[in-house]
Amino acid sequence: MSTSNLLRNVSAGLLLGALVASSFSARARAAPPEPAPAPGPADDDVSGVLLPEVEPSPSPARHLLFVPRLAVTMVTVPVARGLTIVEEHHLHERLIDLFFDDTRTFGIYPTVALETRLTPGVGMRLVHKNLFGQGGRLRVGGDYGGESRFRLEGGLTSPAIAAGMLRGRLTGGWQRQPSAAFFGIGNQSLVSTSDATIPTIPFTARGPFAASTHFAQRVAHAELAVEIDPNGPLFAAVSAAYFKRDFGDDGAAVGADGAPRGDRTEVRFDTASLAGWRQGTEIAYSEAQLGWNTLTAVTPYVSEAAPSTGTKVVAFAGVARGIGGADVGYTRYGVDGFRYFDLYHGDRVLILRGRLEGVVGSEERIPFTDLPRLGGPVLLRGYDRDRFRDRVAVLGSMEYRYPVSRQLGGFLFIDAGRVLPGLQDVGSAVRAPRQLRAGGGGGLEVLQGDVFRLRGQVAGSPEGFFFQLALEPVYRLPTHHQRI
Amino acid sequence: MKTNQRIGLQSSLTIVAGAIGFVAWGLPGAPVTPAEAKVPPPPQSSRLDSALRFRNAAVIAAADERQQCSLPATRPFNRLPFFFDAYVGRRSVRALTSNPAGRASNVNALDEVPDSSWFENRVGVREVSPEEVRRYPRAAGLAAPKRPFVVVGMKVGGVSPGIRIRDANGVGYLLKFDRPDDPDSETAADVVLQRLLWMVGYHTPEDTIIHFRRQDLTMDAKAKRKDLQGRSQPMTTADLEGVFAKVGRRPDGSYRGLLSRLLDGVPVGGYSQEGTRSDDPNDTVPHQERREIRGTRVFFSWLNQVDVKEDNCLDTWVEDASTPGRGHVRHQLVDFGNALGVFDWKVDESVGFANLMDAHYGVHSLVSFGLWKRPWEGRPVSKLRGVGNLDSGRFDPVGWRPQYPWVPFNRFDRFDGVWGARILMRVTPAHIEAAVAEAQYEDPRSAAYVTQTLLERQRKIGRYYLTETSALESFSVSEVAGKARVCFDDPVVAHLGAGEPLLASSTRHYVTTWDFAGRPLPFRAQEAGAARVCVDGLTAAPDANGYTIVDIATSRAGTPTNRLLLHVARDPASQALRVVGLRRL
Repeated sequence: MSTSNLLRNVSAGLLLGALVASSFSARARAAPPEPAPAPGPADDDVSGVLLPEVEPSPSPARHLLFVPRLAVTMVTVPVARGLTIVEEHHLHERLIDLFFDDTRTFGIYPTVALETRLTPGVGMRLVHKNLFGQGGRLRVGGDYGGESRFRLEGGLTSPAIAAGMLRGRLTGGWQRQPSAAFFGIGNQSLVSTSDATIPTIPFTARGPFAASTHFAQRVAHAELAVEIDPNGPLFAAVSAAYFKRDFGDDGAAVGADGAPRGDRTEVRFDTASLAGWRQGTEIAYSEAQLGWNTLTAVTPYVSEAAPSTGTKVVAFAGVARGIGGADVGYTRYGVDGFRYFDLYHGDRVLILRGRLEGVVGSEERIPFTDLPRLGGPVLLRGYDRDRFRDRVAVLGSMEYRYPVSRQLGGFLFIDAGRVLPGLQDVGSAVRAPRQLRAGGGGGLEVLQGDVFRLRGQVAGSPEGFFFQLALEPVYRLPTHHQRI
Repeated sequence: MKTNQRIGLQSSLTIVAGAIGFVAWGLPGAPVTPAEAKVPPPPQSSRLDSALRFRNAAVIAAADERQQCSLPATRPFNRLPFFFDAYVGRRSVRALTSNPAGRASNVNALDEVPDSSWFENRVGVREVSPEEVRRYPRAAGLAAPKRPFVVVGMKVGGVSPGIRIRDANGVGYLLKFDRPDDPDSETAADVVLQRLLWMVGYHTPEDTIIHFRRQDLTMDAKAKRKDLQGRSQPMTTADLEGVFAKVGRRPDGSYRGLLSRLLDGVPVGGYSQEGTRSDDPNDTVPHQERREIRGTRVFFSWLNQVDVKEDNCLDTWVEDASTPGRGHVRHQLVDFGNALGVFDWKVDESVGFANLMDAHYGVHSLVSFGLWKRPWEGRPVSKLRGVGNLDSGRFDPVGWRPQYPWVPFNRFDRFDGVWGARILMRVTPAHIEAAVAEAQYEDPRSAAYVTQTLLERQRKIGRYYLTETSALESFSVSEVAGKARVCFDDPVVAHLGAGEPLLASSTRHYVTTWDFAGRPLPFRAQEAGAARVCVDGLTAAPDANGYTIVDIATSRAGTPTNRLLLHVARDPASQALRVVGLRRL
């Protein structure tokens, strides 16, 4: 039976059932309220009723609910029983006891990560909360699978010193990432690799076409940062970082049949046009950042994780230099600003965002991975992650946020932006708004008290629709090493 | 960790279907609105539109709970499955169950709740003076708590700090405290509710405010506490100091606490919100069908007692002295510290208006993109010490909601509402003042505010429920020279008339009569509104022991109220007319 036939049959059955049910109930309603001959309750019944009131008969259609009710019961009862066992046997506390010490400040525990389109990831974490005093923290972790095939990360955060104004942070890690995204350099439109009109020869990175490809990379990084936050709107940070990257994986470039895979960067693009690809990159990067933050929740009823009003602006500038013989040299700069408008009650908020990020240097000395990027669940939503990259990226965003329930907020947004070959092209880009890339959508975000948990959004653009999960609020700025 | 995934048409359809499902899921969580007051047409037909008849017998005023039982099993309260069932599990099953609304099934022939282990008719049935409300703890004949107190253990359950103690008389108490950033609030709310809920008929613990010094407490060497895994551990002085570290101290160095006498008998857990306790032979009416449990909605909305779940009630098994090992189960309401708007009042203004996870309001907010103004937004907040989010201006007796879905409230109907409101309106300002005075608010303005707000909320409740359904009560019937006289109280005029003279002056009662078979009798009368109304000149039906149904239709300000049918008959022994039942339509 085809699907349409099946639907027709189901619809007819439901209609027939409804007609039968309505005729039954109509008959029941039409019955005159004659005194019922049913025997009265026992003499000692507290109600004192001799002859009960005649109530309309319930509709026989109620029996139709038996099947879904049984199905729901079969699902929910085991869950409830399981929760009972968890609580009665204190399984949550026992698990914490298993992985943490008595003070709950030191622990080693496993992690599991499940993401669509990725293999399940497993890992281990070691945390020490109050290391070197209140607020100091050590965190070491390793993962296998998921977004990275293998990843080691560690971080050491100092306690706040100088009356809470200074904090140091040392982070480092290594990962092998088999599927980083690359679409070419520039603002070009995406083409299908099966389109017969598209040349089969490899594209140049900055060519007329963009294509969805992936490449493998191994990344090692270390960063030392000092953050200055004098408990006022002004804040600053300086950092020095080391990055080493190697690209490509010969094994991934061919499929199981031995044919080249068109979705691999090294097959689709001419890697000679990708700065840094052949020899890898090894750089030292230092950056200074200055910011102003007056974001605040105007009432205690609004989560601190969803501010109502204020401004947040961050400007940063950094210098990258190749080390170990790598021919790398560029300057990075940027400004990212948010303005929150409290439209009503502190929880209907309009957020405007403007962002500009750029790099200055000769083309061949800027690794393609270090170019500013747009696309993904935070920057230019509605497009694939890292969909666009070039020497300058500009982004404007408007988001309206509103409450749904105590722990759930809704939002609608429009993002527009593009990448450009240089800062001098910003003016011409403004005069050609049709070349802007725009996306829009909406979603829900989960807040627990003053802590942001996650947001799920559906974002659309001419390139398609995306369901995106983000574990970071949209206004959280990337740390220094995440920019590269 | 972020994930992007393309979604196709199928996924879009799935999302749309999911959204529809979400909306549908929200529907069962719609505000608990008592059934609409449908005004029936005047009884002009040739036959009475009610088949109900009562036995010609005296009305039963107390439930038969003579059956004894041995110690029942303790019902543990597990939060995780409770919340799962409240929001998803049992809620989904109930939504798929055809369970038509039905009236409470444990009421007597006068639509009242008989006295039982659940409830005892007090105010309005007997004289309850403000002084009795004030000195309630000593009413049981027990001596006042006597120092020094011996600490025997930590309080189990709940989030507020507390310890278990024994006084110099050997009586056990629970000693609870306010949070330091919110002085007076929880202890005061507890006492106010304990007094007022007891007064309207519920069984409650004996609570009182106490001020003491740290040296009034000593540690029992066998004192116990429970660790995070529920294991019993010796309680140390450090544990006790840990409690006092979380408690605010008064400027004179003393502490304020709530002293709650441990209930008589053996605690066997809270009662379930659905069904009965299988090991209590007297527990025969499903709890969701009990009038006094459904009707707590009226009193809880008045007092903004939003913390309604199974650990806010407690059953105790009380052994009968004459039959060792056999006894009865008694049902109490406990733990009122989150009432009077205290629950999360500093961070959540929707308390009392929405469930913790309120699908109904959530759907409204979601689909209106926040353009819909939620009823609690912009509500005034008192800055007075010890007063939470308690106001009367935004209070809506119908829209009020507890923190968690509660099945008896889903079954609540207007008949439960008028029952509760009739009792509530008997509570006088002097009663409320007495209860609030016992709460010992530090700031006298707080006491005045709470008293005034409760009076205003009480009036709103009365205005809604008493005018929606016929609230006439306290019927009497007498007969002189073959003519019967029926008298009754009208609580609308009695309690609301002074504030709304038009409501009283416009009230009219239209009286007709019917015989046992439902045939009309010739009597017709119309009476003006008054606090007590008497209708003269009725003639009892000639047959069926004079079984006569007095049909009273009331109109207020030109708007008819639902009718009431009073059933009277001759006592076969004395031949005197008496009331054998009534039915509110």
